Amino acid sequence: MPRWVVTTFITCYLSAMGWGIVSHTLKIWNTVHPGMYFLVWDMFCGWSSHEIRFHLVAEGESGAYYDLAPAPWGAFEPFSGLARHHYDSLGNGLYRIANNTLRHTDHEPIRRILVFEETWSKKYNVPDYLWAHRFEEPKDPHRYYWQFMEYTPDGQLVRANPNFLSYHYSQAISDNPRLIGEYQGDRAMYAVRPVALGRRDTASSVRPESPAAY
Amino acid sequence: MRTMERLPSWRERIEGFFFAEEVPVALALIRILLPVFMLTMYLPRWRWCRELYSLDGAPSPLADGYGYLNFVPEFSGPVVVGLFTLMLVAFVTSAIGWMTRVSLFLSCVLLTYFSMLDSATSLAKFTVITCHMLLLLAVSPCGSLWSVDAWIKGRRRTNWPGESPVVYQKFSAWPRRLIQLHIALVYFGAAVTKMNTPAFLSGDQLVFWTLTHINFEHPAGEWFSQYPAVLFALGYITLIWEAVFPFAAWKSSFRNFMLPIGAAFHVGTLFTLGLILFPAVMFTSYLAFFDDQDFAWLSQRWRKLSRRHRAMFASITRALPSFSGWQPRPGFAAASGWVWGIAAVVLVGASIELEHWIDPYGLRRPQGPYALTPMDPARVEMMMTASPSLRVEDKFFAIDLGTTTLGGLIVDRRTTFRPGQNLIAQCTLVQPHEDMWIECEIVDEDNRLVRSYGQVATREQFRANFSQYLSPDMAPGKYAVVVRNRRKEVLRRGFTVLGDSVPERVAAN
Repeated sequence: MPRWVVTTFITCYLSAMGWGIVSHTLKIWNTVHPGMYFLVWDMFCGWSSHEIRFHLVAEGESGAYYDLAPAPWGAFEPFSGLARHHYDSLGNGLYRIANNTLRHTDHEPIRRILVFEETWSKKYNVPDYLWAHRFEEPKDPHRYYWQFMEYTPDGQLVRANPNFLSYHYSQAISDNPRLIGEYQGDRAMYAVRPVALGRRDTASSVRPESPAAY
Repeated sequence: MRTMERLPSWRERIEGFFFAEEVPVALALIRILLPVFMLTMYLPRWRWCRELYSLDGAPSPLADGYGYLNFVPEFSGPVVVGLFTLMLVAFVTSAIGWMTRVSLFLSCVLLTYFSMLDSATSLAKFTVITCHMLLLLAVSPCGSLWSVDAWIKGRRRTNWPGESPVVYQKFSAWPRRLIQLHIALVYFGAAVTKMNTPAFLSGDQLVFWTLTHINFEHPAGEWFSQYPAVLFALGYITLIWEAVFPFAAWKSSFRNFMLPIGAAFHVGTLFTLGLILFPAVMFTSYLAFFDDQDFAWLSQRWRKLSRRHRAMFASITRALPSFSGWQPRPGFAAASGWVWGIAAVVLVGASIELEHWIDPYGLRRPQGPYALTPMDPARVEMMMTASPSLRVEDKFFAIDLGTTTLGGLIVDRRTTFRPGQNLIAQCTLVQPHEDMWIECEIVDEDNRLVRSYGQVATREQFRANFSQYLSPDMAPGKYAVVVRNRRKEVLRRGFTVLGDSVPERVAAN
């Protein structure tokens, strides 16, 4: 191979790798393109304190419900006996998994597809012998169920809730009357003058306490 | 008169770094091992490839998460089965070094393609690292050694490098150097990630990671989860090691520490996190940190060993099949490409037919397609009406007692104390939780309140430490630390106060 080709290849490759490090370190354009996944080394992005499983449920027109995952022909278990749909942490591919089961099975007409999260604290994953060593309380795991998404049979997303943990993070923040008071009182509002529609100054951003607001 | 020896310029050093000539032993070994590891991962997926990667299934493309819909083309079931089989064939022929360059390019492109189509279960950072290494192997002379291609060209040798070096063809070292730099930057990037993750440095994320049940079994991790101070220390060691790796892993005495520590770290992830292929891929990549002189040294040691145990080695050699009489037929070199191509086409065609015959969705069963069976209505009702409110006990992980902390974590967990000691009750919290008032009480054997104190735990806190001096006049006996939130007892840990008190000087300290 000619030396200049090799030198160009080395330069391009190291530039791409270097850009991945810079982009990741400075958090600039690190998620701008799928290709960045191949250049950014963000192993250990963070593991939540709760174990999460997904349930894909179809509601038929008769009112009966059907479990869509695992499918009747079995489930692909990539690592340790856990079906594939449990690994889709963002839920981007869950509708396709549900729809794939519907497409290849006999069933009544479907009214909607529901995605539930099942969640429990990982402290209950501690094996019994270790639990007995460290805890004086009985091991009493509780599983939470949370409706995450709802789709029409043709894939229209009609309801998307934050996931269970995000909901509770936001609850922890909103459980603060002073903060909520500031949020409600300090937001900028748009003063709209209908008679001036079409003009550049139709809407202006003002704060309620400013003279322009009154 | 002494003459001044000219130091090489930067340009000469860089040229020496990338373009020094060497026998590509490490690259050949990586070429043999890496596709085999990928084969163990992807061969079981062949049965499911229609479902995982085709339009007739349910792919979960990586690009969707980035907002790029339809970024990677999706094909019909038979096409995917054919391409997937071709990838498996390419893995095998890469490992044996048959049509090496073509096989490695195909492996790289198809592995990248299928990984991007199944972000849920086929794409991980170790597959990305593998894609990089396959690309670098594809442009390297890794097929010049221990390969079918080399055998066809008449370069077959059975002895090790260093024994008769003139036999081995030498090439520029740059592909191996790029693999080294790639691995160094991967570790450096991983260190940057950890620096930006405060919960990693506090050890809390490692606790939850070791308790996560989505990888393979990892009983050692569950055991370690009960000792967060150990995980905290290991986390810092990992971070420092990863940040230093790009500067210390090169051929020097430092390498003899860096690589074994790395190997131990990856073995640790096998037992504590249930990772199998990640360590395998990283071990393979470590081979790039050894040049042909290192392998020559190794082969010398091996020969010495074999001479010392001549009888044993001779019996092993006799037991192994001998291929010494095998020679490529004249003209086979020219036909090799055709044979490879025809074999690949035949295998791809056969796989498409086989997959059709297997009927993965059961559509052509005598009894017809599968029918969905209704769920238990009570179960659905339970899922739809479950309260989202977190129980108080699910906001608390555990309570531990001790006297000394390291990095905010108790290091001497105990249940016996002496008057005059400082008891630290560490209450580990589970996020998410709101800002909480946590009441910590010491009660005696009859559950009578001895002391009570409390503190606010803000929503970002992973733990709350309650420190209490056990005064010398504290009566010996059994006590317990009780943690309450919203007037509910959440955690309890018993302890015993012994009769003999700590000497005054120590207590004062």
